[in-house]
Amino acid sequence: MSRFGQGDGPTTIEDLMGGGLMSRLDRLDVLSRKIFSGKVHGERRSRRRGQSVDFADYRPYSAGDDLRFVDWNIYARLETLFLKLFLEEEDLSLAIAVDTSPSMDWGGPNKLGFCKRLAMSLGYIGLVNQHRVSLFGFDGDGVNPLTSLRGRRRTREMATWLLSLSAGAPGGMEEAMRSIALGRRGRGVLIVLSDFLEPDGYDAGLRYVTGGGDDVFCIQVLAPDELDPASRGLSGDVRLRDMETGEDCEITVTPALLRTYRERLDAFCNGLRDWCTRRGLGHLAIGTDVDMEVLLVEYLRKQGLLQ
Amino acid sequence: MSLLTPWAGFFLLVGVIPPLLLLYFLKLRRRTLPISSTMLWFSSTADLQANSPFQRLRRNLLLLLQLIILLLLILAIMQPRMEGPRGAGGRTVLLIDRSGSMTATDATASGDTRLERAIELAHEAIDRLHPGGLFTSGDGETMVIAFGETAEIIQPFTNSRAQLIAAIDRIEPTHGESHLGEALQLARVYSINTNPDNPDSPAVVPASLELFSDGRLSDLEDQVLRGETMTFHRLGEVDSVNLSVLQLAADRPWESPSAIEVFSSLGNFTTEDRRVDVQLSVDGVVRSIQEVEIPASVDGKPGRRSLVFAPFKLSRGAVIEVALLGEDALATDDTAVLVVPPPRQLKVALVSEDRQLMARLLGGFGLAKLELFTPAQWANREESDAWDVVVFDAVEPPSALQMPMLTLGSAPPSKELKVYGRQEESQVALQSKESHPVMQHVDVDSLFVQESESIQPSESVEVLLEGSRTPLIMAWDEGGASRLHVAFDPIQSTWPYEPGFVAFLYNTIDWLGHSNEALVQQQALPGSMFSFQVGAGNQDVTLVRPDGSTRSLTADANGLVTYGPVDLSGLHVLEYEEGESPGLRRSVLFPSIRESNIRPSESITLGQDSVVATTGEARAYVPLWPWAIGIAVLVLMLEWWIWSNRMGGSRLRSRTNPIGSS
Repeated sequence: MSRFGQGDGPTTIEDLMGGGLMSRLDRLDVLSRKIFSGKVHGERRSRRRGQSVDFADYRPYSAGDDLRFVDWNIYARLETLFLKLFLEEEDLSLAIAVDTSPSMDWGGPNKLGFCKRLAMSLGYIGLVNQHRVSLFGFDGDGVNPLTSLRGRRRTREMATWLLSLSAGAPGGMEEAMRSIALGRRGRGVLIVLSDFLEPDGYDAGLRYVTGGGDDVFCIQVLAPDELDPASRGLSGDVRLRDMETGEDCEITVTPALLRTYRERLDAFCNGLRDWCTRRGLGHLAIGTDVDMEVLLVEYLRKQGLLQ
Repeated sequence: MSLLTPWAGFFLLVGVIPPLLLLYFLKLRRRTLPISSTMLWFSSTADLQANSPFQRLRRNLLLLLQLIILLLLILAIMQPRMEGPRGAGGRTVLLIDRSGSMTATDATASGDTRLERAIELAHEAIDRLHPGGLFTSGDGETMVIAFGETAEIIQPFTNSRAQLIAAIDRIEPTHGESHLGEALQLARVYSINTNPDNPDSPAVVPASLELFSDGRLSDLEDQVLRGETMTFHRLGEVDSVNLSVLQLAADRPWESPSAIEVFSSLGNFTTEDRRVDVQLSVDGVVRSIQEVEIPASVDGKPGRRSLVFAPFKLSRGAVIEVALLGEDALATDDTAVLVVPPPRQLKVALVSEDRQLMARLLGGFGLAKLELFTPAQWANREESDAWDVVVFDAVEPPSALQMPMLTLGSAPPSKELKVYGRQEESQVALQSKESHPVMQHVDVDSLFVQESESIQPSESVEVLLEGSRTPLIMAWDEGGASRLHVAFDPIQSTWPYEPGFVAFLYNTIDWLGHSNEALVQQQALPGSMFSFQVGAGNQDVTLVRPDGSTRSLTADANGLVTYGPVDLSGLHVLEYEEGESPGLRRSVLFPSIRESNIRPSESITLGQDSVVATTGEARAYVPLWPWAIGIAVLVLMLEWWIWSNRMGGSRLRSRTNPIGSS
């Protein structure tokens, strides 16, 4: 029987992402439901109308418009001038925020270690596709950023940074989200990796990143010890000590209590999912025992984050 | 519900429960586990507590279950038992009361007697105990005992339903008192099981007793239950009316032996004064009817009214009957009969050494014949002469004299008396048996005896006057005749100068002279024995009982017929053929003092056990400790299941990821 709540995180780059996985990730790309304007021309279509070959829309002609874009076929049919608008291809800003609060450094497999591996994989996909990748570690001590990475050669730098992440002070999501939202110079895809078990609630923090136009995706990471504590050795009369607040909760594990806990956990996850859905955010709750390749290739593709 | 060993359970309770509580609370040392967040756990426990008012109990459910198990085991040790209906199986003794009060006709509305109803109930008990089904015939055994004045085993233990029913139907009423003790003794004797492997230690298996009675039992104070369970089926109605003839006596006046005077005592066992017509019959012919009022009973004692009928001429023997006219619940005690012998003047022989005192006294008694003998004349008398009484005044009587005999100063040769010398020291009278007819109205307070015989009487001799040193007057039966011996010569005492001596002498002659006739003043009661002198030639005789039934009896070599114990009250007639001689008659009085009070008892008390009458089926103590053990085992299994679940035996179904998206 595994020890309840005990698990180790990755210690090497190979632990973060093996070679086999790396080769399979080369075929994936980050998909945004929104089209973003970037700093330089990239491989991604932007909402900004530009000079690409992809038709976007029509709009009535106004004085001063470039006559090269007038659709003369429509003029011949309707005798009204319309301009053809084209999408412009731009790069994508991919931001990955990793929760490093003490509650994340728990579980078997360890939640923080799982988040590091997932952030590594997502960041690698971004780098491979020439996106502008930024990483943030946040906890009660503040935000630890690694910004503006582009290209496959920055992979090692990103991995080293991820390996150096460790659990810090409790809480800090609200402040961190506010800081990340304000510090975002461009707009793009923001992926938040956390268990969202914030003592003060997650909604205050997430509200900062919903208004900025980023395509936000919340990946809720939970350990099997949280999903099914009885099977992970939680039994009898125990005193549970909160890693964030230090608060003790004395319980006698009974089937009824486990049933109620499971109901509360489902309600919490459903509450987060509904909150995200109502505000246009993506949400996925995942256990740390899931295979990383399955997660990336199946779940995240089904959720529309990757393609 | 009652407990057989409550103190054992109490001490266990004190000794076991506190240590369990102590151990349980010492055991509750929680291990501390770090967890990512207690937020959900807090809300879960709060939710659970909000939904369960007994959450505090549920948290200590194991302790609660362990306490229940211990309490159940302790309860089992205390051996609880509960009274409940008893079915087939085991040993049962049916005790059926057939005493006089059971002939009361108030058992049912149709006028059945209590005994008839008891037999019906006994049939129902047999149906219950021996249902006769293929799987229910069972191993139960039942015994039937009928009791009244005496107890009789009607049917020993058997599981044969047919035998039991036939035995119960054989039970007939008697008019004696109810004595339960003998019936209980018989039931216990037959309940002894002898182990063939160990015959020296028989085991008594207490039987279940079912008593069918009205509860008027005369010997209850001496009885106890020794582990048996008793069910009391009460019979009769509490408000039944009963009047009875308590006593009947007759006497021939001294001055007119050919007349007779009848005395009776009437009893009222109800709580109201009652008027009743009393009829006097002589040989079946009504002689008078009087209306009398009998006072109500007080404190359970019957109201009494004495009635003296006017003397009337009756120069022959007759059967006198006093009857209460009118119906009540118990008809048996409404009639009393008395056999009055014909007046007979006695022939007395006095054997003495020419002493005048006795001759003068006896001469004044109006005897039919008084003949004086010297010892020599007595020895040479004609054997054919018959005397009603022979008096030996200070002379040694001969042996083997089959006539009633009074001896004075010289004891007759008898196996009943052992004369071991003379008591030469003077003595006075110590104790007189005044209830004996001989000693009635005899004042012995100033009696002074100078010299007497030292006699050791046997147990069958009745001592009528005990002196301060030796027995002075004694009576017994020997050779079919009564004997009375005065151990001192009256001349050697102050007695001849006192009026009591005359009364004694008259009583003695009268008693000895009529001792073989039916008693007039003192009647026999059920349970007593009869003896008839029928003469040597009549070997087979017939006794006609009061209910008309007959019994064939056989006389012994001396012509003596004995019968008993008598079980019916009324007139018993012994018929035998000797020319035209009438049959010998005996009357038996109903024991009204005890049996005429027919108010049934609500309960009977045997020792410390009070058995309340039941109108339903038989009850028995059902032991509850096996149930307690069984429930304790079930709770133990439940406790084990809960414990194993808590210790990780239960697994919530794991859900595959993603979660929370359903």
